[in-house]
Amino acid sequence: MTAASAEVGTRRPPWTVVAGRELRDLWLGGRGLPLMVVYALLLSVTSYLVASNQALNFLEQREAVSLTLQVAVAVGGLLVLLGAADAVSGERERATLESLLLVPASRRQLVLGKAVAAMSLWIAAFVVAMPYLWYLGRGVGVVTSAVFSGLVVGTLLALFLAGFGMFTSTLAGSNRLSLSVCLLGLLALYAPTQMPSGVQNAWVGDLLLHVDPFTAGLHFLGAVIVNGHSFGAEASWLIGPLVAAVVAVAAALAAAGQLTLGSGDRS
Amino acid sequence: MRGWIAGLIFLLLVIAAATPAAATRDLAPASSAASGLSVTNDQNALSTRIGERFSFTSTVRNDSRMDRPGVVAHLDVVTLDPDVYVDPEDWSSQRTEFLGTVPAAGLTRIDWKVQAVNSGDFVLFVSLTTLEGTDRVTTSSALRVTIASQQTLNAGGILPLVLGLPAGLLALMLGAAVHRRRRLHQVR
Repeated sequence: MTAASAEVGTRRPPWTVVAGRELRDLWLGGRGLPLMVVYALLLSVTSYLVASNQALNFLEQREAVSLTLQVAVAVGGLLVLLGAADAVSGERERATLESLLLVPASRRQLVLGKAVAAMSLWIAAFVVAMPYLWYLGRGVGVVTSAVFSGLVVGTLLALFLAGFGMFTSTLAGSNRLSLSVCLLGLLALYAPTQMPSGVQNAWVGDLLLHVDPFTAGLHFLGAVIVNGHSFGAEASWLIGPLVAAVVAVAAALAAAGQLTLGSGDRS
Repeated sequence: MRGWIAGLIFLLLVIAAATPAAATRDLAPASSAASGLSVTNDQNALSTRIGERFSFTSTVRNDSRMDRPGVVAHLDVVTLDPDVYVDPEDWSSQRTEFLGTVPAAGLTRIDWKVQAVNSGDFVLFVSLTTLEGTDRVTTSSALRVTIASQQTLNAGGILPLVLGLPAGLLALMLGAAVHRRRRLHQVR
C-alpha cells in the first residue's frame, strides 16, 4: 500500500485511491479469482444436481431456484465477511498497517476503501450466479424476480457483513481473532434457520426471524420465488437486513476513527 | 322383420350403455341421503399447462329441512399415473374449508385456487363432512384435469454452463498469475 501514498494527493477522493489499490491487489494478485473459481464450482454442482433430477415438479423447480439463490447469497456474504475480517487485522499482522497509516487520508477513508474492495467480492459472486439462475429459472418464470430479489437481499447482507467484518478487524489484535469472531457471529446468525417450525410460529420466534438479517433475508427470497408473493407483500422482511446493514456500516466507520497501529494502543 | 327391429333396439341399447357420460351426469350432485348435503363442481374437465394456476367453484347444497352445522369441505388430488407422486399441499395451500352452518334448503359456494405442479392426468374432487353427528362423507363428481408437460431442465443442456463457467474463471485466474509473474520479472 505504500504506492498508494503517491496516488493520494491527486484530486480523487482518497478512499477511491485506496479502493483502487485494494481491488487490484484482490483481483489481480490476491485471492479474488481463486475464491470465485471455488464458488462457481459449488454453484455448478448444485445446479447440475437440480437439472439432472427429472422427478422435480413445478414447485420443486422453483424451490431449486430459491435454493441456488440462497446458496449464492449466503456464500457471497461469507466471501465478503472473509475479505472484511482480514482487511485491517491482516495488515496489522503482516506489519504493513504502519505504512498504510502513513497515507495522507483519514482513517475512515482507508477503511471505506478496504470495505469497497470486500464488497466487490459480492458483486462478482452475484455476476457469477446469474447464468445459473437464468438456466434454472427460465422455465418457471422466476428469473427476473430471482435476480432482483437476490440483488437487493444479497447487497443488504453483504453491506451488513462488510460492516461487521471491518468493525471486528479494526478492533481485533490478530487476524485469527478477527476471523474467529466473524465466523462465530455468522454461524450464530444462521442458527435461527434451524429452529423447529413450532418455535418459529411463536411470537418470540417470529420476532427473532424478522430481526436476524439472515433468516429475514432468506425468508424474503423464499416467499418471492417459491410462493410467488409480491415484493410489497413481503417488504417487512427487509427491515431487519436494512437496519443491520446501516448499524454495521455505522459501527465500522465509528471504529475506523479509532484505528491505531496496535489493537490495544489508543494513543 | 320383427327380428330385425329387435336387433336394432338391442344395438341402440348397447350404444346407449357404451356412450360416455354426458356433462350433465358428470355435474350431477353427489349427495348423502342421510344428511341432505351435496356438492357439485362448476366444471368436470379442463386442460392446462404445468405451472399454470386455475380455479373452480364448488357448490354445497343442503336439501334437507334442517340446518347443517359444522360443514367441512376438503379438496383432494389423485394422480392417474402410478409413476407420478402428488403432494396435494403443493397444488393448493388452502384445501380445507370450514363452512360453518349450511342453512336448510340453502347453499354455499367455495372457490378453489389450484396450481398445476405435475404433468399428466389427474382427478380433483371435493369431500364434505360435518364436525359432529355423522360419519358419512359426501364427495363431488370428478374434475378431470389434463396437464401438459413442459421440459425446462435437462442435465445435458446445463453441462456447458456448469463446466464452462468454472473453467473460464480458472483460465482467467491462470492468466492473471502469468501476467503478475511477467510484471515481477520486468521489475527485477
